Amino acid sequence: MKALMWKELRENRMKMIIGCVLLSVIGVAVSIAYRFLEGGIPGMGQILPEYVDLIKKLLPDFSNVNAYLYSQWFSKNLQQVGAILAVVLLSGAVAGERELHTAIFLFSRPVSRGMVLASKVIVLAGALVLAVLVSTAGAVLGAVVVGKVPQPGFVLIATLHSVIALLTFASLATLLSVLVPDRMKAMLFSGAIIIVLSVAGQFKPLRWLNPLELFGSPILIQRPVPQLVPIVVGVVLSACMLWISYRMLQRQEF
Amino acid sequence: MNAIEMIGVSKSYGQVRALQDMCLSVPAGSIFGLMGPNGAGKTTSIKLMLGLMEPTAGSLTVLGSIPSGDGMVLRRRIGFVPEDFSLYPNMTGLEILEFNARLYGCSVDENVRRLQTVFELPLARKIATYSKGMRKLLGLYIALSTEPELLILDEPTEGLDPMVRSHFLGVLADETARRNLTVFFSSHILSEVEKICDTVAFMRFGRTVLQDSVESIKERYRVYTVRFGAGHSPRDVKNIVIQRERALGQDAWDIEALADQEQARTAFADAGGTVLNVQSLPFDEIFLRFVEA
Repeated sequence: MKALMWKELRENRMKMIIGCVLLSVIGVAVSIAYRFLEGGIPGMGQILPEYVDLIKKLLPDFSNVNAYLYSQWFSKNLQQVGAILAVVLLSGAVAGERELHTAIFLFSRPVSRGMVLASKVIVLAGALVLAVLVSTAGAVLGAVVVGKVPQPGFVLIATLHSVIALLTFASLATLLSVLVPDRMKAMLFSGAIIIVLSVAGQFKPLRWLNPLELFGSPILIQRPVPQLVPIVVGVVLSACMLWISYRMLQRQEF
Repeated sequence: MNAIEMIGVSKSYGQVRALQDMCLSVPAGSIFGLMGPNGAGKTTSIKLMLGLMEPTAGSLTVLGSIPSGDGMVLRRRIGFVPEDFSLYPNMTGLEILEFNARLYGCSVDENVRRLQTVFELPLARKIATYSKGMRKLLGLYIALSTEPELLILDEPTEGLDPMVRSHFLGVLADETARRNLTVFFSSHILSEVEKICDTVAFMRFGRTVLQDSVESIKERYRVYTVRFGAGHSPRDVKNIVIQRERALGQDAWDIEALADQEQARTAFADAGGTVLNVQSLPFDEIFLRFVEA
């Protein structure tokens, strides 16, 4: 298992480093941008008073740093870039081995398919979680630099929700990686499923389909307590998709 | 004792039957060549032996174990070089050897260092920079580095130039002799099979059509020119299987058969025929007779 995990780390290290650095830079930048947005948008005074009120209503409430971090980091940049990173990392897990014709080498060694899949998921999902933690730490650090300290409880709970949501996306990408023998196709299918469900979930009757709900709701700003439903749904969905991936991989012939 | 035993093994992919009632016995300690045209079922047979697939029907044992049940334990005793051999291009030769050794639960030790003097590969270089021949040699190096009891090679010299092929076969023959390995070798390059294999099997449409030693096949397969008496023809011949017959005139035939000469002569005589001439055939011609039949 250690050897398999070492191989995954070695083979994916560039993707992991680039993803982590990119997400962290965005995290720091988002927080530092707060300095410029706090107290309104420059030039707002030149806008006609009736429009100023309308614009203020449309803009998120940036009077508190928790609300700013929630709207600009957790439910926006981390959600979008994190989802892309989850799909990019995991959709190549098994599909990549097939595409490079290394699957026959790997599966003809004295290792079980379950071990191969587990090592891939542990390393790649671990890298994803690490990227979320490091970049969120960067976002918090950026906020501290501009003189605003977010509430630790809020940061922890919002991070927990983000990790679970992104692991669910990663599990979906793993499943597609087992089902589709081509990295690019697995990536596109995973992305398409997330996008289609997110769009469909914007309509009230289909709200339960929206995978972005897994990231928690704005209630976290006021009340930083874990929201049971998205957490349970995320964990159960991830477990189911990984179990199906394992079963499908067991049945596949290489 | 047989290292590999296949009895009535079948394997289907949906409607396509890749193997049909295949039978094969690979004696332990031998170099065994499985020969057949593309699509005959050679790679499917190998994947079944490694436990990468399950047979649809029949019985298969490898080193006394059933691959579909004990695959993981069994594969620890097997070295395998796949036909479409690809390795992680960003790893160096040494890294892939170390990775493979760890998967087998052994270390890169004396054996690997000794093999390096045989293979002379630039192990510090990334695999992406290796030529096709070097990759195939690295595949054999990896397979031998874990001290297997059985070495399975799926068309290992396919696409190699004659010099690299000769080096590859030389190393294989030397290492096999040194270790008392069983080697299962699939190929459609007849000259190399004839050169290094003790026993061969010919495959056609997912079946074994012949299994015997190379020497025995070359010794026993003959073209007999036979003249039959009035009212007799090759159809009257019993006790030997005629592989091919060609009428030369009204009463003379060229008849090809795999049999002991004495037995063949007796069979022809019993059928009212007289053997006029006996010819041998090159090994590749014999192979074509069986797979084209």
